Amino acid sequence: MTYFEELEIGARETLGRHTFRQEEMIAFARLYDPQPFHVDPEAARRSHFGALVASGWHTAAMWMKFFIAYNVGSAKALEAKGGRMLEVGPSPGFTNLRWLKPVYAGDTITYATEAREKIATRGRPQWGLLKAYNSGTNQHGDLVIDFESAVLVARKGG
Amino acid sequence: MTGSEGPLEIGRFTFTRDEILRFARDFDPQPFHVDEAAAAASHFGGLVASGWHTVCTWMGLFVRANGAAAGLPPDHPAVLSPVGVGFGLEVLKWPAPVRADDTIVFFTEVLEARPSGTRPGWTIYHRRNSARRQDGTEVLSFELRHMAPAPTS
Repeated sequence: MTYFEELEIGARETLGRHTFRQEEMIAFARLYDPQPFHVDPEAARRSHFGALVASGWHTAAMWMKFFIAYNVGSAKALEAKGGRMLEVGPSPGFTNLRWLKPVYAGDTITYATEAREKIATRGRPQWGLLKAYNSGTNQHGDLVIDFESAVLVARKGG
Repeated sequence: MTGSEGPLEIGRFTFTRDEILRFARDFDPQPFHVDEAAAAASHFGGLVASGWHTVCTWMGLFVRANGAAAGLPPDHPAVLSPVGVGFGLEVLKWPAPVRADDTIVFFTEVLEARPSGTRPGWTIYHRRNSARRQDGTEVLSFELRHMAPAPTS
């Protein structure tokens, strides 16, 4: 993430990769999505998925983890170059989230974000609104999750 | 079958400081979610829960509120997949923050339900889901589409 003025529409940034391990999938799902095909490998084998799959919320929350880590990394890089530490504002929500394919134990998901639209917000001169397309793709190149977000990004003069 | 009798409560949860920190350290380590001093100095004025934490808690309560009917065989779809498969959601909003020790009440409402054309015995649902603080302030709303097996057959 860079300053609002420097964001390039259409630029796709890879945020990071994560291999979903069975133990973490089960630990997450026990708390937040305790359906048998998310928490019980034996029951999952007998379900229509045929094997344990990650909760879609786990796949989504992991995107957030990589988004934050990526922003912290690029803010530090900017600061090292003499820029100001960036702030990404809180998110009001997102739209059009789709879970397109199951995520199985051992799958490696590559998370990405792509700038789609920049909107200068009136009355908030220090921020600009960035609309982005976010995704997770598995090791076979299949899209497993995507959604659109809107986030406030600091402007240079702010 | 369309619509229902309005929002149905599926459960409540108190977001303690430790719970907020635990989730946010794993998935959303922004200063106002993981650092109490930074949160106090932020525009929130104090620690707030990650929005992903709020929506994941909704899901956990939704699954627990939809247990299969007693006496079904262990391989019955309603036992293996009580709320089935999520396709996605259209608009998710976090209109107000959830603060430490807030008790949040969670709801679901069926907007539309129709039989699956490809999977006999399963129903495709369009729901409006939400969560409120006890003073009534909405902190989460989203519309979910999913396919679930009939709870009995």
